[in-house]
Amino acid sequence: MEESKQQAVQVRLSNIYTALSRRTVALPGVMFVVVVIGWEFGIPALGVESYILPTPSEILASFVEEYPTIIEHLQYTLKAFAVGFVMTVVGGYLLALAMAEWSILETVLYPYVIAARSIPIITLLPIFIVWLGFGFSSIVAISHLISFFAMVVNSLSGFKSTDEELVEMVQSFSGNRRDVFWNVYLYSSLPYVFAGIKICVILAFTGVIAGEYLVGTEGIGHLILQYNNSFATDAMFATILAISVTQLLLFGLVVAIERKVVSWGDGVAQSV
Amino acid sequence: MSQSVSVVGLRKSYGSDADPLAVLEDVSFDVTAGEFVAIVGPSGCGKTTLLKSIAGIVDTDSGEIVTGQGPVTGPSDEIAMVFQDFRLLPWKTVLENVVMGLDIQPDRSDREAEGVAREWIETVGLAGSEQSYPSELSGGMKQRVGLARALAVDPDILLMDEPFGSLDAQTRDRLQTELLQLWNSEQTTILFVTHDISEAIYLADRILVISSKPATITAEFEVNLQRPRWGRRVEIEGSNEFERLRNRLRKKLGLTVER
Repeated sequence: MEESKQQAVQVRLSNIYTALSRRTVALPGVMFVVVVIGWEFGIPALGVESYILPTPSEILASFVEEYPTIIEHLQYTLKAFAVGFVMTVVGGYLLALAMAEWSILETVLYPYVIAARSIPIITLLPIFIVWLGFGFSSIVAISHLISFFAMVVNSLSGFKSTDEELVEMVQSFSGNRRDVFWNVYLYSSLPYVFAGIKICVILAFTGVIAGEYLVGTEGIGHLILQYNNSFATDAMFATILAISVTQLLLFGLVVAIERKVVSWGDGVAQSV
Repeated sequence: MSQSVSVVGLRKSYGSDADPLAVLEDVSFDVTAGEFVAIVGPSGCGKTTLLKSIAGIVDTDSGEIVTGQGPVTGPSDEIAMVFQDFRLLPWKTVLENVVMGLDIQPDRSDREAEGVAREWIETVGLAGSEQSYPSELSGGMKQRVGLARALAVDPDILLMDEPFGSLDAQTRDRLQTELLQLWNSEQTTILFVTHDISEAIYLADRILVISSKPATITAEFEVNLQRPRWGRRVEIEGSNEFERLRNRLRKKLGLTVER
């Protein structure tokens, strides 16, 4: 028993070793190490001051020091993100569904959706400040609107790319619109819907940070500005590091959910 | 249970009013309850449109389709269809695909539907593959699922649109024989569209020949081969009746007769 466990661990380790020694993993890894070492020793050697560009070790030390503050503000940011993002995904999906179901809605609205997707939503922020005040609501509004239209467009292309022959098949069994949705549209649109969600994670999160830069009294965007005001460049970099890692984790979470949900037999269905 | 089908003066054209492309031109025929009728004609001649009209999923311009239950105005529970390209839902397992048609019908509990589906999956020889996805199945297995899905709703009329057209020869042979056995036990009315003459003769009681663009019935042949036919395929295909029918059908379809 013990022996087989040990063997399993050994197989696992050798698997990890094989994965790491693959070119596609090893080369970017080498690149990372080279850049970090070059940064750590090269930048001070060139005489660049620490408040202009702190070294990786200084950033890491600052992160350890500022950790509680960063986490506290990050929580506020994630709250605003969650509200804006959920509003985007649910609202965008439902609007796209309505447009797919009633073509008159699509005809009337689609040009405006495309137009709204193309204008820089961030320029509307002053208007939100007039309407919603300085604070949480304005930040959520920006986060939501900056990502909403991408969700609509992606979900709608998902519904539109549906194989009409499958719809016809369900109809031949006397299926009504509801049956067609639950058996066909719901699934056939999923790869596109997830492509939309992946875009929206990044847009909505960026929207929150941008909003916090401008109107925040709390949140990680606001924190960066505070550090900026006190020339704590190393803490700024530490915060940026925290933001990057958070966003990567959020994105990874969506990808993991996608792998779990959009899998029918042949692993992941065609990715978009 | 089975039902009769009467098609009277069916017309259908696609395209604009100014430039219509006639697909069906005055198609009329009768099928008696429990009969196995094959419709033979060149590919792309409107046979599929004809079947879809009977299934109630395509509107026609004029004419009437009447089953034992009355005129067909839309899809009904009495009619089920088997498609050439299988049309399985790729995101559902074999079991879920067969349950789908049952779920749509009212007044049936989930558990009952699953029980019926499992029985049919076993009947078509797919026991053990209930949890497989369509992408894991061969063409022949996929069409067995299509067949189980259609038969599970206990249709009185089964419409089959070149169901074995995309399968390899051996699989096709086996499924033809199994279809005959199923038809024998279910006593369903079957309308079977094909462009394979031998398949039509082996399976059907009667063969309707349909012309191309616009489609209209140009000939009708009785198949006087004794049933049951399974287990004597070689004997049947070597018989004079088979040979005679085959030559007449080929001539009618504009194919040159060999010999």
